[in-house]
Amino acid sequence: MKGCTPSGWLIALVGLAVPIAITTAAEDDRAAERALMVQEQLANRRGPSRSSSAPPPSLSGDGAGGGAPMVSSRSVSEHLGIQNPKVLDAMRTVPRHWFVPEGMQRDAYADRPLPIGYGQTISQPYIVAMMTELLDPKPGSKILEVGTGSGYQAAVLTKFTPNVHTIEIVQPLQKQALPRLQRFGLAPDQVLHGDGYFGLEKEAPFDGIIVTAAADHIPPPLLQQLRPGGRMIIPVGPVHATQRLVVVEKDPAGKVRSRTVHPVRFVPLTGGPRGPEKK
Amino acid sequence: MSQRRWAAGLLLISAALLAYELLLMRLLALAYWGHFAGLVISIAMLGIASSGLFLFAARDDVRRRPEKYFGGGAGAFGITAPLAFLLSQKLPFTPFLLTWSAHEYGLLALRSALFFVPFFLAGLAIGTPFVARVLPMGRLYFWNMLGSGLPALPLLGAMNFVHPMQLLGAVVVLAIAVPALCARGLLWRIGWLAGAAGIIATVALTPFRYSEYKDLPKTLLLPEAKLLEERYGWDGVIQIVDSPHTRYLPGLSLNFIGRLPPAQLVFTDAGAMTLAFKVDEPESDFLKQTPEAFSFRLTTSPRVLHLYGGPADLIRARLFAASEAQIVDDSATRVAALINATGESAGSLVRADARQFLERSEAPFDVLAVSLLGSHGTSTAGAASLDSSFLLTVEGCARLFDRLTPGGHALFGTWIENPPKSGVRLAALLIETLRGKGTQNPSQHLLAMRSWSTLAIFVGREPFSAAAIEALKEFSDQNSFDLVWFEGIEPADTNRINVLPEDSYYDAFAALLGPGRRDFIARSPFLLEPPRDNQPFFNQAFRWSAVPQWVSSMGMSWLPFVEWGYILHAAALVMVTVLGVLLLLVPCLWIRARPTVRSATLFFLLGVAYMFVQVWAIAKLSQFMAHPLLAAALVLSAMLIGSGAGAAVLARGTGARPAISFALLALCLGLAAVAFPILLRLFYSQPTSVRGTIAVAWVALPAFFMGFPFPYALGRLVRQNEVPWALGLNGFGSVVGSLAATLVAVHFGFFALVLSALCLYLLVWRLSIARVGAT
Repeated sequence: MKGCTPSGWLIALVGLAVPIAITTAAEDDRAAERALMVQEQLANRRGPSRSSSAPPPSLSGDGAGGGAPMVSSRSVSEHLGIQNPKVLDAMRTVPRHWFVPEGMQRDAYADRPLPIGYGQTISQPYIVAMMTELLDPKPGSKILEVGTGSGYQAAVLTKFTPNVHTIEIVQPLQKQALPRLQRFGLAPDQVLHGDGYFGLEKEAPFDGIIVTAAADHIPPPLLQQLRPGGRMIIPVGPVHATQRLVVVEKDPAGKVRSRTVHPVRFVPLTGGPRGPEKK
Repeated sequence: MSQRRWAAGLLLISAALLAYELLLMRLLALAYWGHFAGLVISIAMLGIASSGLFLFAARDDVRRRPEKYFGGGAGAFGITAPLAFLLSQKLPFTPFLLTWSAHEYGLLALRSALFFVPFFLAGLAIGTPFVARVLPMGRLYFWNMLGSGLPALPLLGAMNFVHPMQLLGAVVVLAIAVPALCARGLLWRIGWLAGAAGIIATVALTPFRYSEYKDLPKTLLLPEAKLLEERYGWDGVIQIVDSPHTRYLPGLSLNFIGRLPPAQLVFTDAGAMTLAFKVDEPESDFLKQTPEAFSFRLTTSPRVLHLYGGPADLIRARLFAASEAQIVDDSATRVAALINATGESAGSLVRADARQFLERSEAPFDVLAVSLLGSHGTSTAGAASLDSSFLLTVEGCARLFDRLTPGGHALFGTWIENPPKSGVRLAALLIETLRGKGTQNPSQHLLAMRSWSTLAIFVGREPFSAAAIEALKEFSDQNSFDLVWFEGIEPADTNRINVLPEDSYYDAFAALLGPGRRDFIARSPFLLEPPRDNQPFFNQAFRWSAVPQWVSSMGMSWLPFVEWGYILHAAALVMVTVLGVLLLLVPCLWIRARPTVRSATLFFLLGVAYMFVQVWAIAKLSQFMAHPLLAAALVLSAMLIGSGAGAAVLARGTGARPAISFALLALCLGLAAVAFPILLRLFYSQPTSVRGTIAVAWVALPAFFMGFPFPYALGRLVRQNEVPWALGLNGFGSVVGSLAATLVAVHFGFFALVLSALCLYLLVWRLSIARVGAT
């Protein structure tokens, strides 16, 4: 049998290396798009500016019968961007196109939700970034995500802490997400198939919980598994536009409160005849 | 072919076409959503209009061999109609991509193009006898109208027994009977019949596919979820599902720490989920921790009526020892399914229209609850924005308040939205109703609170006492709900537990109860004007005048928040108009012997006017018959058959007297408009059979005279080769008219709609006095 020459080995190695290099490059060849997305859609996102010559639109008369400004408390061009540099870094690092179906690759870095099958979507990057910013995960903190979906949100969370646990009730989605999330260091027992309504008792309590599934009420077991001082984030609204994000906070005494954050700014319904200012 | 066969064939293909149109509307609404169905079908129906162009081009051949076009068109329609639907089921549809993806618009166009084909073929078949003049115009129109009027009610009845998709088989049978009648040889007949059998078998063996974004298919993906039963009804397809991993209770307190009990899920048309909790569920304490439970702090042992509630409301009422509790639901099929799933009695779960039930009920109620907590996604996306509701009008709410006992109260529940629309409009409606009833200080009659996801408004027949206000504060505190309104509330009392960036609900109450309310309503980016019976579109809050404000403050980010039902309807009108002009009018420029402007206008307006009356009649009878589908079926039957009869009688021969016929048309239409409120007052609480008989007479009389103008104008065409154009333009006018009529009703009210129809008919009369088409 003819032996393999050194040059033959070299060619063979190069032959092996080339596909790997191509794969790596292909995996990360969209870093520029990601950077642009982070820069334009996340970091420097602003509310639309208005011409200074145009009067602000008004909604209603005030008590004196005059027009109270509809956007009275807002600056002319409002900064709505993500402030936390770690979140921006995470969004810059995690390749979203790994989580997007083949047919939608072109739009992977558009700030849009995209269908992933089974009637589910991958959230728009701005919502993922905002939910992460609101959750404010610290290194080493323990996070539970209910509704793995594509796995993108969980992947972003791994940039803050390895203690991310995610549960998906639709098994095909969980199976698709598992290999993707293993590339981010999550073990199979951190990417689970099951009913997230009951949380993950054996890993509780959690410093943060993200519920990405639609919720009409907040599952009591999740509230119980939230550590005092912890936070839960829930998006509320139809699939194509998360209309508000609800931040549920549990104070050290165990008292639960919610706070709504509007990721999309509206012309607020203010300006009616108000009573006395809050004391 | 004998005249009798022509008449029978025209009747059959007309019946097949209308049956297909109705089924398609139902099937697309079932698979996707109603507003997409309207858009797709409106565009596809231009196929009927554009068949006029084809008939014009091939007119000589059509006159030589009319049987070939008639039988061939009808037969091809019978085959392509179900196939188009089956193929459309294979096309993907992701509704939210419509806000930004051109690809999705391409798919929508492809879907419309698929349906365009059968509509074109049916138009070809129906137009052929008119072009070939195989019978006098009046008689042709009679058979056409009679055929169109026949299938609506039988179809509605058949939907009680089979899935609407299987009824496509009836379309095939009706349509393929036409070539079977026309065909000369036995082999041809056998061939057509074999084709029909093959298509029917294909339909029967193909499973119906729902959009993956509807609630039912998403639920069935959950572990252990299984479809227990599917029930068919004329008012909806009901699916009963066992899904132990689905839990649903809007408004549940953050303080609740127990477990929600299992329940069966009852879906209507694969959406609109209701939970069927078992009645004697011992773990029902969770129901005490919802805003609705506060009703029982205001009253003891009350008589309770829930309008559009669910079995959970019955359990809650019993939990608080209500003396009597009833749920009213307008779907008989859903009520039957809920009774079956819960074991409740027919006395507790009642099938009735809410407004009509209030009219006919005798004893007053201590608590009257109205739930607006439908599917959250659907309501916030405005899918139901063009649905009328005669309960959520000033008149409807006034009737509701009248049915309260002196110490009683009404309760309204809705979602917290961003931006707030339904909740604020509801507050405006209730305050306006209270003012309309002469309430001096409406603020004293109102209490409101919100959980993190829902808003509850309580309206007292009498002012709420200080004790009631204290109870509200205590209840809110216990359940971590936020106070929104009571007489004397301070801003510091609000927005403390479930914090919103601005407490728009408190602000709205303050504005609506203050002196600046008119300004507040006028300058809102949403339509907040309280709806009335003349414009009963509570869910339609979109204002064109606010678009510049939206764009200036939000750029294009506002798009997902508008009422898509309304937007798609308006878009359909624009698209249909543009496509109709391209398909029908532009070719005029290249073809000699084109229709005159006068005849083009005449036949177009005839289509518009007819549809204005039809949409108006359906809307009015939706209230009278207490169900929109029943009203639509009655109107289609009575109006089309009535018009057919009118055509046969009035347009017979040359002795017709147009002035008298038009005058009688106007008189009957005017009388119908004037008589309606009287009929409503006299018969609204009568049984369905009585109301149905009156409704048929009410529609058929003006319809009889509305049958005259079209065949009369066709008969007076100077150039007979304009007949296909006239048919096409009339079809185009019908599609535009049906879309425009809804917009006229939404923006100007039903009275304006019927008045417009009257004016259009007067214009038609003026145009048809001259010999039509004369230059």
